[in-house]
Amino acid sequence: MQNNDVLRMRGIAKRYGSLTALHGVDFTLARGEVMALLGENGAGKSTLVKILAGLERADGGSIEIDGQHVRLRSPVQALHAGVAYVTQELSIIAPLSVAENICLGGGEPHAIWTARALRARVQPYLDLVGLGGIDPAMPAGSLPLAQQQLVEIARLLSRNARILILDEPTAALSDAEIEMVKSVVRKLAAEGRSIIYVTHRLGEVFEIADRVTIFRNGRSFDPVPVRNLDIDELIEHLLGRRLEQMFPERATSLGPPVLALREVTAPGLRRPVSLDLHRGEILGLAGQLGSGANAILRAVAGVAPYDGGTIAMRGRTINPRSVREAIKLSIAYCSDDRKRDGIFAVRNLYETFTSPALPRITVGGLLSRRREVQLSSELASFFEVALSRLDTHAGKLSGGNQQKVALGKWLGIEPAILLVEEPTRGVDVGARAEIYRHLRKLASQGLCVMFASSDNQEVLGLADSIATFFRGRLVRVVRAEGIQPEELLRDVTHPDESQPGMAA
Amino acid sequence: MVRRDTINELGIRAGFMLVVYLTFALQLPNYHTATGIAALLDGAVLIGTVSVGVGISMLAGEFDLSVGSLAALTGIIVVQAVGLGVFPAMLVGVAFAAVIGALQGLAIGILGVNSLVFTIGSLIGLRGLAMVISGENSVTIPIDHLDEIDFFTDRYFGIFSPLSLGMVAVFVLFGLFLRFTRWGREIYAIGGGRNEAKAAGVPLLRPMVIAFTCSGALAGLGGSVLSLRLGSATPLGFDTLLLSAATTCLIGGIALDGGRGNVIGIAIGLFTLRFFITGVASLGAPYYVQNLAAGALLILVIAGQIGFRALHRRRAFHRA
Repeated sequence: MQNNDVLRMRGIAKRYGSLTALHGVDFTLARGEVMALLGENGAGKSTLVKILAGLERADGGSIEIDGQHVRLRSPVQALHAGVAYVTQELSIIAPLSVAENICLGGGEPHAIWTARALRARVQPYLDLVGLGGIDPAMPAGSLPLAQQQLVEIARLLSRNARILILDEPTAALSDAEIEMVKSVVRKLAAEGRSIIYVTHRLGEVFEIADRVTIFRNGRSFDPVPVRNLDIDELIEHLLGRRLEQMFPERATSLGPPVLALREVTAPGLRRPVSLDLHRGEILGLAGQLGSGANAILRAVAGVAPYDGGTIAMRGRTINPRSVREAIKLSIAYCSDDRKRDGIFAVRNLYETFTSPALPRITVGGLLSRRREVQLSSELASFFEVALSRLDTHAGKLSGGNQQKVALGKWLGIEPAILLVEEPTRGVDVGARAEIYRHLRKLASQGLCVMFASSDNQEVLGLADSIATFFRGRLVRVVRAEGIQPEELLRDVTHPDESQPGMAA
Repeated sequence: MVRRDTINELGIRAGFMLVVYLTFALQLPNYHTATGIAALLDGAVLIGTVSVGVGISMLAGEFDLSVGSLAALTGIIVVQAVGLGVFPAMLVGVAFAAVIGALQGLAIGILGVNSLVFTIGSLIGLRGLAMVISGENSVTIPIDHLDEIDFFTDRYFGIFSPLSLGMVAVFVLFGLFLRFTRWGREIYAIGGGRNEAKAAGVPLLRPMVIAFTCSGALAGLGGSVLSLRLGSATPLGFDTLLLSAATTCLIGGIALDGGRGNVIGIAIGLFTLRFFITGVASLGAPYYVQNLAAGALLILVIAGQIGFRALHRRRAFHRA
């Protein structure tokens, strides 16, 4: 084989319970190249890079780096093998200085750390990532996000990483910051390091990648040189054939508008947004992380109250300043982090199901066990959670069942509007179809559902209307039947580039 | 928070300390005589030394509750070992306390238990051990050794005793250690962001062991010098030491969730508290009023801190 391959992964397989994340995937990486990884959510690309970074263990397969067979059982082992992983969640220790952040945990030989000695040590790496101008003694937490990310890259370079994994490095960054990260990536590749670049933004692939590996349903395709591709081909590769039977029928007719947003500005949005939500409608807000789709839900739910424009519910202006106020307005909000605020992991399902609706199960200030059982059984049966499991801890359930509980508990307050972020994140295919069916059933009973999702297939399949978002602004609102998958993908990844296949 | 803010915050704390000092100095003549200052310094030695240790455990995002019991136990051991000579006995005591601290750090690090839980156990257990070793009685230095501890009352430069010089040395040494060594910065790292530190490859166990070794050794040091100076030790001693040390650290701006604060802050906290308590005492207040005053001071400082930070955040937000 060519000596130029720095990394060879063969037959990598990984299962999470009943869900197969990777079916024996092959992956190769050449020295000095930027390899883009593309795929929809759940396609397996993050599982693969996590295995490479030593964060997950593969169930099968082999990994060779520089022709040597390696075991990557921990991030430390991966780093020794020359693999470094930069996640979206940064590992910058905010109170410590930039220089200390770079040196901590590394092989810094000296025990005495003066600002001057550290500066000399870290300066070359800061220069390399384009941060030569900042003071290494300043606290890392006071830097903007992109620079923190670059500090993290500098840290990995200081440990002699030859394979760098960047997992959606630009998702939360501004345009200028993205340019900064991209130029660093090009520079590092020119130095002979190899970069794995996980992204959802197709435009970026053409700008910086040499080759692209596409993932779909836990399988990978052979890498394709980017210069042989145009955007339309890429999109076609990416989507493949879809599962039509996954999604329920759409609404035949919609009721009157229930929620009207007019020129709303809120944290996370860069332009004012106007939208309508009708009775019985499922409105899908499509967009990647940082697109502003979630910001709309959070504004309506009172999590991040809006600061301009108006939101009216049935003609009356509302301004919920907290989730509590939103609940009083019959607005339910289910976040994308069910472990944090969706379920009580160490309480049983009775308690989790009834938690938003305690007044309904209270008699004279005391909880009524009978009503608690009754309400939670009702909610559980609606979402087809086995009644026999009501007594187990919510944290013990599978991802799909947890999500059903996280959603189901909100029906207890008999909401008029249900807001859902990423309705099926971390949920296997079977449970996904069930959740879609239940959401549709709720809508057909007159509920308004608005969900935000970075999974385009889900938006296309489930929503009646689709609002597409890109970097803090609303691109457009269309009827779901009126938009092709390719158009949707374009809207949420690079709406402004009208010509496909622009030069790398 | 940028570095300028840290310095500003220390400045505000130091200013507050001076206000407390001046308030009492205006009314109490002995507050600004050499004897008065020497007495203030001597009165601060025990709490000061132990506060540095407790502060280090807090910087690591943990909390060593066992310092009072460990100081009492070490005091007993040192007084019983005084036949070896004062310094060898102290060395034995501090080494013993350091080993206990290191074992605690190891256990907490390896088992991954919350240090509050673990050190509640050692707080009770070590006190029991002190009882066993002392036979439930006070132990005293034999009369023929008493002259060996006379040097404790020496004076240097008019205001320093060997004890207060020792305390100053502790502050300087541990201040330098925390600021300028890899191990010191690792303690900040695991306190300031444990998961981030782990992801960055910082070994979690080493800073944990070092932090608890420091707090153990310093508790032992405080317990031994105090017991030696008094000439006796009781297994029931040092029962309020933990609370005083924790109060000192909190007034000095050591964050309870770790990673923020420094030794200069602890020194400021120490003297704010000492000026205040001795001041109130010199005005004739009984000890329970002193406690009331110390508690009120702590709450005042914490509330002021929260208000100040909120104001600061809002300003930073509007600037951005």
